[in-house]
Amino acid sequence: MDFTKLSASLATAYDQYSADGNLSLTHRARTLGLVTITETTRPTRAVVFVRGPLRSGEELTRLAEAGLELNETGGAAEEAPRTGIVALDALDRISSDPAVGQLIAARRLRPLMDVAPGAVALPEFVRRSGLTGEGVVIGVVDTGIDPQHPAFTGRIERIWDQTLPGSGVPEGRYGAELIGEQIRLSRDTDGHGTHVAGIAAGADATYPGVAPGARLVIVKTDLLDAHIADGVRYCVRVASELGMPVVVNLSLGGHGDPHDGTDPLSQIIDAVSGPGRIVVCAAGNEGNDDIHARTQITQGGQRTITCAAAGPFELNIWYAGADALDIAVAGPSGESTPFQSIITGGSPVRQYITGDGRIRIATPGPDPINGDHNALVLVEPNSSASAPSRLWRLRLRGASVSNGQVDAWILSSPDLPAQFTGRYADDAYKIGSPGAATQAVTAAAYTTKVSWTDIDGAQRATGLEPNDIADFSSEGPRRDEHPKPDVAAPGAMIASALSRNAHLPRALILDREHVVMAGTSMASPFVAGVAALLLQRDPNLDPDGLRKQLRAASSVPGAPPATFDPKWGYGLLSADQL
Amino acid sequence: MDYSKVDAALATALREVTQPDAHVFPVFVSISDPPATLEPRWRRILGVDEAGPGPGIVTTTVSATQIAELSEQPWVSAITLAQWRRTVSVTTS
Repeated sequence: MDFTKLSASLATAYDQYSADGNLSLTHRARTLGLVTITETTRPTRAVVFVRGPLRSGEELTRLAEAGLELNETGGAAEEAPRTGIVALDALDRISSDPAVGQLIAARRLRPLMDVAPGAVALPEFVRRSGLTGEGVVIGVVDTGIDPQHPAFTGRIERIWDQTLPGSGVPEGRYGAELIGEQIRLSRDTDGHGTHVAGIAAGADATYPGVAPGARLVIVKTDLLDAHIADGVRYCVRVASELGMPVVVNLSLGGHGDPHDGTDPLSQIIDAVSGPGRIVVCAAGNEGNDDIHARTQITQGGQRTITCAAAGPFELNIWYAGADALDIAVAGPSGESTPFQSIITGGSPVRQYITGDGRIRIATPGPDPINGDHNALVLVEPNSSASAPSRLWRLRLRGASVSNGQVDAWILSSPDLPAQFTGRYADDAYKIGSPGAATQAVTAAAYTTKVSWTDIDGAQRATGLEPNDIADFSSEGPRRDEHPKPDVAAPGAMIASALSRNAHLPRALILDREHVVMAGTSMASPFVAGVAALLLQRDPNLDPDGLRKQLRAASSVPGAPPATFDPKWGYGLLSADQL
Repeated sequence: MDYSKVDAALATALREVTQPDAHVFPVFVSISDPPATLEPRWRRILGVDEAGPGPGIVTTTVSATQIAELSEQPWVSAITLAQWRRTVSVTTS
């Protein structure tokens, strides 16, 4: 036996088979593709992936005679693994054959969306209620959709592709609206939007979405928040023209806003929300990232907040409108800008060139929308700087203080991350717009699955804790202490529709039509799908009514009913209580 | 330019302007007290029809010169620079 050619699971199955016979393999048949283990007339066989080189007909004939039945390639490349079935008795001879490079036991895949709904008792609710989302529009403002994916056949009403040239729609004179046969022209080259739409509304036998009877209105957005807002308005108008209630899903986020729901995108969400018009948003994925700092400053006092940055970064600072702070920034060398006070005459922006880089500080008067102060710091470190560290310091001085609370968020490129360090880094208040919108239902992510088998037969796993809130899920509440997120729903690892135009890592791909992803991006459409079911039951359901139902059906483990937790919101949804 | 109506991000971006008439600023315009009839020029800039905008928020893409003019209008209460968002998937963003 050449054990080097056997996958670990196949080797252990063979070992058990050799030692104990079929009996001890019975339980393994639940996870491996073992067949005929209870029949006495045929040898126990295993479904396998076989890596070659398998080139000549002579080799295939030899292997078939030895007990390996190979399936056709279906036009796949020669070097691609082939599937087949092998008698365990024949493993010794086959593994020794030079034409066989590796034998990998096939695994029984559990539909992950079957796991996720079960974790929140959705199947029971659907069985009892008979709801499918029929007569409801689900709007998805995202990276687009694969209109040819079978999970969406005949259910996409319209696509507004903001990235195509065209005359746009009434909500925005840009992009192109696709209707009827034109819908087939659209592409989702990112894959995120297709996956999200599949969770909310995929009609898929293997990985069914939550509301497979709903109609879909898709906005392929360029991800600019003004255009996302236009997309939300578009979904609401189209649903109105169709005479249907609507739930719009936004699996998007950012931290350039005041984190209190007063930014324009949140205000527009609040304005369009109402009876039969719901918006569901993701909480964000910064649960493990120190992107927020909070401190308290006194009259004449000073505070220094430390930031570690690998590249350019931005500080979005908010404090009470009645206070006045002076702001300075010191670079890794210790050189600091002067303190800059609030500037109300002319441009509030000043630029400083130091030995560490270029620093721009904006200290305008109170924000015209919420009345608080917003100071902005943009830092571009010198690429050639021979600084001893990458630590920058935000220096605050209380010029006039009655409240004293200061919140700051750090924004950076994912490739060159920046985070707060030190005592003022604060693991809370990390839900930005649009999740901060008052009327939005905001979803945290819960982990229902941590391992899967990819399209190549490799076993994959994450480090997430199963059956717990996902550590990456962003914590609330809002800066004004308004409770966010609202509810937790399955967000890791979730199997859903794969866009054929997206180039995603093969480790995430399950088969030609499905891929696993994780994030509050995945929890949000789950809640949106549930909202669609409830809108079918009551087409006039409004955001407050929906939130009330969701809260009553949710709980934080180990906490009394109706407990709010900054990570869980009002807890994990249990749909059987809806 | 009435900087009291402009958010910090837009004020910072305006400082870098080299072509004041280039339409490069996607913005939200908050309108608090719209006039009964709005000049066609403003309707064109705001992308609204003859009925004009109601109280609320309009999205448009404008130049630095137009931002300065808009900020001086009594019916404009705030101008906010649009920002890029990210999809929030751990595995693809």
